[in-house]
Amino acid sequence: MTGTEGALSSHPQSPLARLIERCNAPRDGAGLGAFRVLFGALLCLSVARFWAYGWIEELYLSPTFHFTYWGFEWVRPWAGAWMYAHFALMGAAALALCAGFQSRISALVFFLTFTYAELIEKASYLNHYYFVSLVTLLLAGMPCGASLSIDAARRRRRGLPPLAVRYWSYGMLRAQLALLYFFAGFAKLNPDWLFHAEPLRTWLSLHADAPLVGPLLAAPWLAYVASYAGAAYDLSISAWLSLRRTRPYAYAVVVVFHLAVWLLFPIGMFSWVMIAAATIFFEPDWPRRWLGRGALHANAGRADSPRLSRLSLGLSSAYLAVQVMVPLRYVLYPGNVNWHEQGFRFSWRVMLIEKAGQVEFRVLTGDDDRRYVIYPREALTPLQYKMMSTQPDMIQQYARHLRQSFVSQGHQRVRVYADAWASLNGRPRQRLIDPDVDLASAPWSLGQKPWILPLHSKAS
Amino acid sequence: MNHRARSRISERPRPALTLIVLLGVLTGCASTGAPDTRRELLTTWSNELIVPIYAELEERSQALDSSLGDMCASPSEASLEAAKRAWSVAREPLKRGEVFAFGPFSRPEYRIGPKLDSWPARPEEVEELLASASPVDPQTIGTLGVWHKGLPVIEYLLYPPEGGATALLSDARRCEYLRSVGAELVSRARELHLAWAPEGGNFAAELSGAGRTSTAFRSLKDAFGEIVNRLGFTLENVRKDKLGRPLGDSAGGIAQPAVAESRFSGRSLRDILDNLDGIELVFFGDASRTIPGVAQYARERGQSFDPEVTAGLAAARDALLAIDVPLTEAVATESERVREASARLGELQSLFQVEIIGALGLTLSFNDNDGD
Repeated sequence: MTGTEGALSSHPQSPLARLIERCNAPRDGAGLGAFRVLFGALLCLSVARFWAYGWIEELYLSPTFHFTYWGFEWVRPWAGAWMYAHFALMGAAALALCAGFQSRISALVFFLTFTYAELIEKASYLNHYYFVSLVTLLLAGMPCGASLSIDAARRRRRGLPPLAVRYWSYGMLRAQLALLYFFAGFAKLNPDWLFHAEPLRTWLSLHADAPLVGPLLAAPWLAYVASYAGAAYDLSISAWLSLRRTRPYAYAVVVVFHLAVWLLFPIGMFSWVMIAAATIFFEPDWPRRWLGRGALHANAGRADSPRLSRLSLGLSSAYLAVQVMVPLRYVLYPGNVNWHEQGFRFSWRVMLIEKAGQVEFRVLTGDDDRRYVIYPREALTPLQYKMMSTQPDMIQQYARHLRQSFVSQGHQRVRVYADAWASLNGRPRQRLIDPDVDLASAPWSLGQKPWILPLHSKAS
Repeated sequence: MNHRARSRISERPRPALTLIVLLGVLTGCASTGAPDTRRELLTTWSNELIVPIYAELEERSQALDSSLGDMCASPSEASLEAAKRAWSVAREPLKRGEVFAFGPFSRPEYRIGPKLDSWPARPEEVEELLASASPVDPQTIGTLGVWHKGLPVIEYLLYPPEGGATALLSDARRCEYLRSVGAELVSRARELHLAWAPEGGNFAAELSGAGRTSTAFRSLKDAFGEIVNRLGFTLENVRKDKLGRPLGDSAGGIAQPAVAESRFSGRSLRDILDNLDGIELVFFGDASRTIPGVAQYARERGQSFDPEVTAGLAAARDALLAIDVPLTEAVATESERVREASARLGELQSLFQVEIIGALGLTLSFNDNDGD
């Protein structure tokens, strides 16, 4: 992404040259350093939680079957202790990133180990895990160890000038965060959210037992207020954070919003990650102002500064274009994306659905149609079953697994059908999958899945 | 100095206090949602449904134990029939209470359920024990595994597949074993009752104290969700294990009567009907409606599923009652009727597990990886 050669060969007057020049404008690295420290600390905590709560065993080692991602079927958990070693390496990388030791390499190692683990099991997909992967990839491509780091201290000891940080580093991280918020808000502009306040109405009312505010949380009008406020927050918070005058208030709103989310919903580290990430919108020298000018070594505009080249600009633009297109890919699939979930993941569609499901499989084998009924709850973990029961691609994946399993037992002409029911945001239940389609023979691709039945009713 | 301090405090904004006052005003003045009755319901269900069901199980187990004693003291067709009736009567609260098969019933630190009712029975293990030189006194039976105790073992001894139970019971060792299993059953039923009862382990308080004092349930939602989700889980177990396996669902459609529940006595379908009674009890409350059910909570939230559940229960019962031979025969001779019953139970299951759970927002959460 960076380069020091051929950085600016365009004519100084051309818009491209001006853009590159602007991207290369030096900035104080303290803000990026603080972002790295905070983010790295949360990553350390995340890895520790995986270890302490037994999730390495529960998510990766115990299941006998894994829902892998299309194209990444080759990603498998390491055997036994090696999976723990994998997380130990991930934790070490997080610690090193936090401390700023070999910062970019640490970010890259964390990105690789964390993303590998996430690719093993689709059932544990979380939007903020995806965000963590993207941010660590970006950090690996920028001088994130220029300030507040062991790397910076070592350069000082060697008499080397500090690495400079340029605007593009802040720009990329801000753009990433802004895209997340924008698409999270954009996804909320749907009838369930706007006209029925679902799923917030259902979720908030479950907190009716909370001291003092419980009855208020159960009030339908509050669900509407929260729905509209939530959508407005997601759609506009990046802009408010970008403006110097509104930034302090906007950040206060960020903190209050995410703390409220953390208190009300089982959303893990998401709130803390977002509170930390929003600091990237601050003026780059904010840690210097908070900690005192003497506490940090200035590094803006020094030598040894990786500059954005035309190629790097192209790559960065392509990255951002992908980040825009991926959340919009759902338009390629007809129907309600919250129902069929084609184009749902990696799209920042956060807190949008309350879905319940039930799925069983009928397996027919041979020419005489030997019939088997499979209740997958006993072969899957509770989390896997819950996630699969409402997500058509996982249902198909399991159907394919069943066929493979029956074939390996010597059965021939194996056909697998799903009896799958689901309800979305308080609607009556309906079939999710055409029960007459052999899912094991249906194409396994990212293309449209015609065997997903359309959603009929509106939210109640 | 004191004056200055007071003055500074009075001039300083106090956000926490302001927030509390604001929330108090909002809570008091703004229109709020329906009152939350979940904790009240959990307390009522614990104390007035679950504890009494297990008390009844204990009482009926004692009656069964006495019946077994009478029969062994004077074996006859009449005393055998009395013992069989007592067995069936003892089984009824256990099957009705299957919807509460969590907590002391199944948690690893208790696991009382399997000691009461592990099925399908394994006659070969029973016969092996009887043929051995091992003592069959209550102390020994207490130390043996689940296949040597509980209601299915009593059923097997009372209803031997070859017939002639009276003659068999005149066998002193067999009768001693039967009496020991009866005594063991009483002690396990008492253990289960006491595990729930306030004067014992008081697991009931785990439900009513969810999110506060409970160690088993992190939140009120978890505890309430546990009960409501049990409605669907129980039906799935019925379809999978009680109907599906005997139908041959895991054997390519070839009937497997030997894996049916209560297969010696022919009580298999009655067991399922008792299960449905328990489900109805949780959903609608007791017959006199003095104990409210899940339906009341749903209605308070503006959702009524009463007609659908009533119709679903009736359809499932009708389909089960339409099977006019014991399940062990029906899976071979009336398999379509058995499938029909399973289909009706499946509709009821999806009504609970998908529609009602979804509408009430009670899908179970497992950990922080289970979110958005």
